[in-house]
Amino acid sequence: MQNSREVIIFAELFDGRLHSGVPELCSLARGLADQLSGVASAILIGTDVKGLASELISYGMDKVYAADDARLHNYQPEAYTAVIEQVCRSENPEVLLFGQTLRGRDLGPRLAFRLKTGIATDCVEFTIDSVSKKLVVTRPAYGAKALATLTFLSQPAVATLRSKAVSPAEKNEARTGQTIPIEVNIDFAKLRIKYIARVKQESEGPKLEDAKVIVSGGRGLGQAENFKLLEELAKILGGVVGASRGAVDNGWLPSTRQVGLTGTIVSPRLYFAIGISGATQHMAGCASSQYIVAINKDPEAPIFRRAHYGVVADYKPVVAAMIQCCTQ
Amino acid sequence: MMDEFELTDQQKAFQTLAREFAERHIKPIAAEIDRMEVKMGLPNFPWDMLREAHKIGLKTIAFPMEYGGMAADHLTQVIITDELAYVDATCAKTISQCWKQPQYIIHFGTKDQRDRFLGAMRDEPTYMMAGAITEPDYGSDNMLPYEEPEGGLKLSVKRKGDGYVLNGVKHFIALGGAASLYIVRGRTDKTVSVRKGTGRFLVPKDTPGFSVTAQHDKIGFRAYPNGQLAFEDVYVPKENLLGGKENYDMSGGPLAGWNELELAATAMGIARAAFEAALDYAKQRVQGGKTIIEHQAVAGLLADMYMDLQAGRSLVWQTARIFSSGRRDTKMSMASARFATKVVLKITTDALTIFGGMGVMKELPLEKYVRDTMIFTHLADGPARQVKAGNLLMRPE
Amino acid sequence: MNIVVCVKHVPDPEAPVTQFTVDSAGQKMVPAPAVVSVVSPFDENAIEAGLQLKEAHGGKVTVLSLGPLSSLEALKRGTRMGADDAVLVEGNDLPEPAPQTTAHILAKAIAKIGGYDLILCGRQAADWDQGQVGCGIAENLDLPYVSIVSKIETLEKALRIQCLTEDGYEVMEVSLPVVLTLTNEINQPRLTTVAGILRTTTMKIPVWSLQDIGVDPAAAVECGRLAELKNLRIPEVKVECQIVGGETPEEAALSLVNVLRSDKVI
Repeated sequence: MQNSREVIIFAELFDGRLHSGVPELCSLARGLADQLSGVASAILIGTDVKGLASELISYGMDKVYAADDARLHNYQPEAYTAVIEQVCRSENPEVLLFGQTLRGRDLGPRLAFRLKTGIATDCVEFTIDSVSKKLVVTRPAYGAKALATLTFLSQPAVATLRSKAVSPAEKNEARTGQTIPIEVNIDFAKLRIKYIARVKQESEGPKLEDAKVIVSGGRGLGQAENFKLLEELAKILGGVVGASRGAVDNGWLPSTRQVGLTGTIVSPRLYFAIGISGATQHMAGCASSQYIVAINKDPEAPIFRRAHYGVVADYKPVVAAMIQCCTQ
Repeated sequence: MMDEFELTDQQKAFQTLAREFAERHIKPIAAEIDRMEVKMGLPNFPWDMLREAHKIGLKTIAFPMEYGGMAADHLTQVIITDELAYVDATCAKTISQCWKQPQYIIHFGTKDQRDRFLGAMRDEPTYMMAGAITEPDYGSDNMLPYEEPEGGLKLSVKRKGDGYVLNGVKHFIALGGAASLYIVRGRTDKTVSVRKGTGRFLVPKDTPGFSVTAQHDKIGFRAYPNGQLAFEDVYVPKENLLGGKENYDMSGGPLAGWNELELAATAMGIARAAFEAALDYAKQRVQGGKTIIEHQAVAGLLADMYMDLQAGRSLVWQTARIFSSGRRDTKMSMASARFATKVVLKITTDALTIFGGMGVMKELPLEKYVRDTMIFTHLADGPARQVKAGNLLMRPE
Repeated sequence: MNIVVCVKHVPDPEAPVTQFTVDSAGQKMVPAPAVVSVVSPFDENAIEAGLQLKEAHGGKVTVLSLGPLSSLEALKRGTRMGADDAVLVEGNDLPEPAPQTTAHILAKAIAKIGGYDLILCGRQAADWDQGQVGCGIAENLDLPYVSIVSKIETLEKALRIQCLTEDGYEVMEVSLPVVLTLTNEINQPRLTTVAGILRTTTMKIPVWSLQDIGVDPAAAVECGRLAELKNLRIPEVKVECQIVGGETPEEAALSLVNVLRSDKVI
């Protein structure tokens, strides 16, 4: 089939609004579509999504495929997969993009296997090969120890975009585009997964991925209580508290606070790693921080090979003294 | 990690199990239980650790198969003890004591006693046994060649109906106060020597007249209970006379050599921990413009420590192999215990030298290794064992 | 409940980057001999979940892996933890199989094992970190699939599961059989047990070839040829850590604040 030169993104929703990563996806799609001399489109699935369609257009989308259906209000993976599959089969895009969000990590592979096409997850660089016109991506591997560059051979090339790897698109209200309603032809009775409920557990405050200062604690803190000290420090520095997987596994903080390869990948200006050994999985989450300060009483901890500043000591008196010093 | 000894896949799997068990269940509590106050009721005893050891099968690993164990050979036991003691000697000893004490029942017990008491150890997670032997006047006597009827063992045994009545005191009893069953040595026949006129009585902890009167606060092995016991007209029914036999010859016995081998393995675990701590420290402490290991005196000291460590480990593991092959070479196990004690004393003291001021600070684990090591001076070496060692050599081959 | 758990043998994810090089073809990561291989961490969560379900409901747990003979060690970790059976599919002819190839092969192996109610995988393997194979297995076997599951509850003939979201979780219900990928939030994997170690010593783990499970190696490779690895490299990580010290921790703290201030970090 002819190369349609279309780049389609899945415009994920969060609480009825566009997910914060969507403007980045739009920017990426726009760039790739331009390289293909093609069209950038978005797929919108949910209820009452008309307003969001115009928002997507203002972010640079030429077309928005809107599947507006009450039965699609909640995330039912098979239904969402079927809608995206339907659009892809009729439009035959060159590239299909998702954010590397929990949703994206779920949907991306589903579509790739359904369409019998290739997929690369957690990509940080994208380009269209000038000769083959195929998508070329770079993604981290081996716990971000390595970088792999892949060329797609199949169509569509499915990829998920790492958060903040690309700058978000700017809104241009003057842009025009097409909103195409999608007829939802799914036999909902045949779906095998039943959506029951959604439970929110979030703590207040800015999200980890937007924070400029993060004070993270790990197993070295010893117990949940000790995070209070880190919260104080975070407050003074205008930041938020994060956690290593070890601290989350111990039940000291919810997994929404986890910084790491499978938690949140952060890139603050200043990152404190306190009582954190520096496991690969964690470093993959915080390595893009501008400044990393490590406080750990183990001089052999791997974190000291990745931090810009380090203090080898028991964190409690150090953090307490820092709080004192900074409040004066 | 030291893996210079060739192990089978199964032995390596046990080594990994012990190492991971120590990391997950012992390391988080080791320093804390060592620091806690030693008092009646044993608030510092690691019951949860014991439950986990039971769940995994570590507590009964040396039991016969029919009682839920795997009849683990001595090399497997030494491998496990080494990994556990590396993290904390008291938890290691608690577990290895669970392998040793029941051997009396395994060897001498009637079928009914084996079913009852070994069954209890197999089924109840925190069930442990303690050997109540030592008394204020009966300590090294245990090992000295002394055949006169007048010996230090004073706990008296009188027949009463079908059973026996025990009166006396015991002290320094390992796991005293934590154990569920006490295997009590009492004087049955005063016409012969202590060695030949002693019986073994099985006393469950809630027997009327039996009480734990004190917990000994020690320089080291602080979380390992050593208790003082009192027996006031404690009635033992005949079903609880071990093996139904009133008099035992105390020389030899099921733990011959085993005690020493276990002590040696425990000591070498501590030695390895102390050595590695000193080595790590020497590689990062900077004085005189370079890391202290670059100073020849320190490098030389560490080299000697390594030599002693490997000599000790080799002797202990070789003895374990000999025991595993079916031969209880008590000369080798005695040599292992005494050599391991000398090695661990030297290594921990040398580690103190290397650490300098930091070494004696309670915020580092080294001072605990030193304190725990002190216990071996009498337990595994010391005059009585020296005498016993010499006597072993006197025996005909 | 009969459960198949797919596990992968990977180089220790905690081994530092200095222990790795890239092969001359730029296609494979080569770990130093000192780097041990382990069961990929999320796969351990999957084994644990399987064992817990078996303990609650009866049945058996089979661990399955695709890899060279050395992957038997990963399977043995599973049986030492308590898994009843293990199967290795030896894919020696396959260079680093693509996720689609792996999924196709594992699906065939699972079909041959048969009689399963539940298939569990880790959410992503600690080498390539792709997170695709679980989905692929479901697609190959035409089974429902739910990913990044943090809790499993059993109902009559179905499962009620929780999947992570950015601000909590979603609850879904799905009947058996189903494929789930699990995340570490679900459990803490148990250690091996004495009984498991003993059983494993005498266990003979079957090793299946691709032929044994009806897979044509060329076709398997072809179905995975959807993207090509052009280049694999290890970026240089150059961070000079400035250690800030002091006679006391408090002094170090003050020095740190001063340094951060003078370097305009804060």
